[in-house]
Amino acid sequence: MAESAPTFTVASAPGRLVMAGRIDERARLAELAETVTAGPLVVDLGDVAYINSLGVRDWVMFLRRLAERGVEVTLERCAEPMVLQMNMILDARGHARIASFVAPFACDGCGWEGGRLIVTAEVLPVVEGGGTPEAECPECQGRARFADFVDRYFLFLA
Amino acid sequence: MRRVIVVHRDRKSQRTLSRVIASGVGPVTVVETPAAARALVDGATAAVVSAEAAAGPGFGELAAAVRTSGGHLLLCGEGGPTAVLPLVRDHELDHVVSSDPVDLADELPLTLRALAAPAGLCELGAARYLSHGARLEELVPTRTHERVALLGRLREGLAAMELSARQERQAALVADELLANAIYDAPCARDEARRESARAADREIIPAERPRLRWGSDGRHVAIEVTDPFGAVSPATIRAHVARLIDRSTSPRQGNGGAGLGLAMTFLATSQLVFHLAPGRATQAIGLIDLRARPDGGRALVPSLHLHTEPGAATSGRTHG
Ligand SMILES: [Zn+2]
Repeated sequence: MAESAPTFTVASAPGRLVMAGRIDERARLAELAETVTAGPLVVDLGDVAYINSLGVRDWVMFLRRLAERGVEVTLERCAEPMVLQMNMILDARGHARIASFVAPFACDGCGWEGGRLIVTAEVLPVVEGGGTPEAECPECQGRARFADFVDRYFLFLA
Repeated sequence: MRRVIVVHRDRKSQRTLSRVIASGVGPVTVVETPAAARALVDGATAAVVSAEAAAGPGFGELAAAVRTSGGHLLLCGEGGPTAVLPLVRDHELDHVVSSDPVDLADELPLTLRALAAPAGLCELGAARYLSHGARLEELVPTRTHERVALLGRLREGLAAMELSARQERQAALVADELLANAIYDAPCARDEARRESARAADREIIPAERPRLRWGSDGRHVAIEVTDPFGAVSPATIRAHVARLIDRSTSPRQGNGGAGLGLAMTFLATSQLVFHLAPGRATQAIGLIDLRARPDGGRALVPSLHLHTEPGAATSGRTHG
């Protein structure tokens, strides 16, 4: 589990950014917003490993600047650290659409713990109906249960 | 503590709380309402109150009476942040304890005994919250930008503990935020502009201003402790920052130091966050992360919060941030 302090990286293609690593004061996200061209933007957050409070502040500023310029943002594969921030602060999601995100699961059979990718459109009806999402354990193929509070973890989708 | 009163309507919780307190601390009286508890306050009294009872009538009077008695009020965090944090803010509470019976058996006797002892900075620090003999690693930054290297060393230590990715991230975050607060915020708590500019430049930290980072684990909890020699943070500031979690209203902007975001993030990353505050002299923050496998993935419904302030100095810390 050695998280050998991966620094922040961002790969860009027209209409698409892929962020990965650690979002902290060294990520300079607010400046990144200026390089985004007009039109819809997809941001892939699947490999974000960590974010601290200065990273959150920069992330909020990144979203605000894009909103000011009318850029429609869709977030894909939001990693758990990003979901937790969006659950904590309304501004951390802003006006962005959430296409998919990672949710924590645990397997009582073999003890596996980890994240599974969830598609918003698929999980929303389950959660809104009072249900709890399930996933298959990648190690023993048993049933992994959702490992957080349902009324808390999906707050950011509302 | 002359007397411990439990205010709870639920029979099962009454039994659990009574057993934990009577076996770990001393005699306990159980009542169902704040008004009934208020009538019993006599001398330094500790009242352990359910969030449900605290939301009902008479709680403000009970909280005030307990404070006047020189005692302490402990709120059970059974309702989640939106139920608990408004009570903490509105009634200036210093203690939220877990609602989980297993956690409570650890936390409540420890807290009540700590409150019975003279308040103030605890010599043991994080060691107090770990099993006897747990080893603490210690690092002291000599330059501001050394924080990053220190956090790297912490992360290596955490990795060797084979924690889950989430536990490792939570522990690293607690150290990151507390250390940033001790290095950048505490020295210039009254000067936002200086705080912003302070981050860019790497500067030496003079020995008298160096914070200390310690961490360790006993297999049940990882403890992260940061002590700074400023004592700039007040109980009111801490309550105000965590209270913003109620409506998710924290609004970070350039120049407002993140609006206490780091403190709120630290709080949510822990299962228990403890502050020993000696205003104007020192702040010691200890974050505990529960390593035991739990159905909820190890996150407490609402983390426990303990604000221990040196007597006589409780109101001198001014609110900032
Ligand atoms: Zn399994």
